[in-house]
Amino acid sequence: MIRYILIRFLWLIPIIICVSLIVFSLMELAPGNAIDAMLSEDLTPEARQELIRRFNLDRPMIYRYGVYMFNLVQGDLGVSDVTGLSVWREFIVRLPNTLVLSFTALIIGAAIAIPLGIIAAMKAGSLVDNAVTVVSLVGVSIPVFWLGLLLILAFSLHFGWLPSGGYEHGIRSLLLPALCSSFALMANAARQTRSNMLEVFKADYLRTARAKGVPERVVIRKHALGNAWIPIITAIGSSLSVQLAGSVVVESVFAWPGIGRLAADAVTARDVTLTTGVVIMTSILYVLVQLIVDVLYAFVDPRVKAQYLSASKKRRRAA
Amino acid sequence: MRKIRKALALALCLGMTLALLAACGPADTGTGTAPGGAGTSTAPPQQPGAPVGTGDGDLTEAAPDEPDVVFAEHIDVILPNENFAVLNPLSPAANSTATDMVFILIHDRLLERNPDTGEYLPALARDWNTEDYQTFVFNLREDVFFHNGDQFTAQDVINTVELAREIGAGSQGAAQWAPIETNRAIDEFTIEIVLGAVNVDFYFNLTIPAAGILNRRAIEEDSENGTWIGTGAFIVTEFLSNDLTRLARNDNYWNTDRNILTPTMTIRFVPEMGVRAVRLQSGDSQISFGTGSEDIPLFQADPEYFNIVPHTFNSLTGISFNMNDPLMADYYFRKAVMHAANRVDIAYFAAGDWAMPACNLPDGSIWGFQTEFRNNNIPIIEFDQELARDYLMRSSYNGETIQIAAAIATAINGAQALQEQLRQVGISAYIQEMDTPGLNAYMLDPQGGSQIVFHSLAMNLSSSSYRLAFYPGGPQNRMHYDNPEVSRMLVEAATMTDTNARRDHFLRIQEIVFADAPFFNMYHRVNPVVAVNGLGGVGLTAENRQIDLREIFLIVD
Repeated sequence: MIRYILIRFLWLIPIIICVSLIVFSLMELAPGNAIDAMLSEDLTPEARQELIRRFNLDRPMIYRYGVYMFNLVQGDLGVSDVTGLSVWREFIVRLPNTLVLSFTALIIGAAIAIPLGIIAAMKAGSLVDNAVTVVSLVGVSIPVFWLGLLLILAFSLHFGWLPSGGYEHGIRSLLLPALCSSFALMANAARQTRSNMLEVFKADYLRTARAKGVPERVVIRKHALGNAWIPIITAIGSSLSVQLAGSVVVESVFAWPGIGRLAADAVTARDVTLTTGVVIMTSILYVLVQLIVDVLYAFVDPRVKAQYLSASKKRRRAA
Repeated sequence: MRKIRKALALALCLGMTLALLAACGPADTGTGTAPGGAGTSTAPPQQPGAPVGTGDGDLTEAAPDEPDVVFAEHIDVILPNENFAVLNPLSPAANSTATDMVFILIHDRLLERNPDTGEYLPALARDWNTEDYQTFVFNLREDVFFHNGDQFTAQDVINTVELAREIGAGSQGAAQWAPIETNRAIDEFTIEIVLGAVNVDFYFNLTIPAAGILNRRAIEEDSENGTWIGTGAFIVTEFLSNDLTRLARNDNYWNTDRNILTPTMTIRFVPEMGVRAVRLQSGDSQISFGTGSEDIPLFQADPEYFNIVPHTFNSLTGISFNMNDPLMADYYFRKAVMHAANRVDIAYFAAGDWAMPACNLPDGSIWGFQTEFRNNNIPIIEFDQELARDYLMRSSYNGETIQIAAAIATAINGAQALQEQLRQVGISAYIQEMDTPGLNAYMLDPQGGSQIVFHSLAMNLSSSSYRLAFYPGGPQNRMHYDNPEVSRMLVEAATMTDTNARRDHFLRIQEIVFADAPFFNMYHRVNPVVAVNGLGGVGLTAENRQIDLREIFLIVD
């Protein structure tokens, strides 16, 4: 298992190289640069030339990329081309906001989606099942942007219960963006849970368990859900990864200062250093979440755990 | 049964598709009709020179001097739709109305300027003098302290100038100090500044919000946040780039003449336009400088609670012709475009009621309407399609499709209106939409660039700022205009100490530029400032970079 985790971490190196190269190239292709983005009314041609030299924009992209990577291997993500602030600091200031939002959305989404999916599967074809299916479809199809505005109109403007944005009111500020983010996650997870449970319900071992007189509650919880976990975890893990990479739309609608908005602002400002830094960090987060999901497989499914154990035994025998 | 289900499914699909298409269409901005139209205006008539809008209140009024009035403890301000990346006047990224608004709150300048009279007012400098506009002596206040407790002295002015040279390349702040050749502290509270050349604009430079005095010790201790430390009326307690600034009143503020009534303030950027309106309606924010014109009817419907004030910008929005392009260099073609453009319709199509067509002013000057030395004898270029066709016949135009570049939404709307009006006289055009950095890069490229760019010529109240637009290489010179006589006169103007001679000089420059016609004025933007009733003390001037919130207040009881 440890070997597996180490290999996954080593994969980060080519991922970072590829991601940074792609970002650098895309930013190079975009018209304009950081100086054009912050073009001041007072920017004289001389000052412009000085800035071009400072940002190495008079050098080829490959040179700038080389300098960036040289600093990166020393653990330096650089400073933002636009603000002059440390990229690491900019990222780390916003990371807790994104983590809090993502995990709250995950908890809300999973807490509602999994029971809903199970109930829908148990009552397949019934009105409840159809209702869950419709809600899931709406959840997947509804634009997050529109849902966010609806939530603000309802809970901030009409009822006046919650603030319309920002992050300064603690949990009250968190509720609306988390609810908005959780909606798509909830819909996905509910559909995934329902379809997997329906698959498992057809399995022989469930019929055997029921024939042996095992209570239905135990059949569902232990035998059915136990075998349906892997696809559910995969779905939730994927949604969480996307959330952690920053939900630009939710963060913009709710003026939530997270990583998504930071990345979007950096791209708009043609801030290559900040954009690359944020994309690298979010790639690492993405890989970490996927790794955690893989490790979780072993905990929820003894067959996966057995695979890891047998592989490690084989290696020991070979040694 | 199956046929009925199929029909229902088909109907549902069609309905959803139509709904999607409808949702993708442009929002109803109240503009009603298409632009142009056989030489008739579709926009409502407006009073010449009058700012448009519906505001009947006055946000600038001072707080009532009555003992039983209760003021709000906190005011939440929504910024204009501009970047708000740094709180460092020596950063090139500090170039927006939003950052200047905060600089005025946290930093003090040596001088301030009465926007109505143009008179210079004492600030950190108690008094000042110069005999030749090259050597200046400033006597500084002795009772001023920075937010970190350091006393303000002449050395701080020297330090700010040095910092501008060391770390301020390309910044607005550094540009104001750039003319200085040497400076020295005569004593602890007197400083002598010597410029490299005579510069009559230097006093004006010192009033720019980015020319605030900084504290070197604070910057050396914390290079990222040290620039927040000033001597201003408010202290920054939190700053998050492109998000918000929290401010607390500086209870030791030296300027006791100022009535600083609000203990804490949050100045925030709200990315989503619709949410800005909701924040005001729900009471989360009390004033917004960034409300979209399409949301204004919401507030107009509630005059008991909201006050809408039109804030007309001095800067001009219009079109620049790329003089490096052979067709655009053709005077007759430019004149054809100018006479084909119906500014009233273009302004209305771009921003509804919230734009003041330049032709509604009493003259056709390309100066901002409050910029000094405005030449009021510049004729207005009339909308005349027959004349446009006549000029077009005399031009080298051969039916090619010309490009109009635009970046922000209102400019794109305006460009679309212009495109239609050009079509009516026989000029084919297409719109090249891009974002602001793309447009800047595109237009400043001497080898390329669009043929026409629809943009704002951001100018302040000093005539010398037109050097940025009409001098070769100037950051606002998107037309690549290069008239040696104008260039010479612009340089000379900065050295002319005789006000009358200087005025004549600038009047002549306007005549020459008008005759060359590299730029065509369309309209002045009018920003609807929305605030809850009871809010006042806002310093609004035609110069959008000088919005002063130091004395803002909100009466709650």
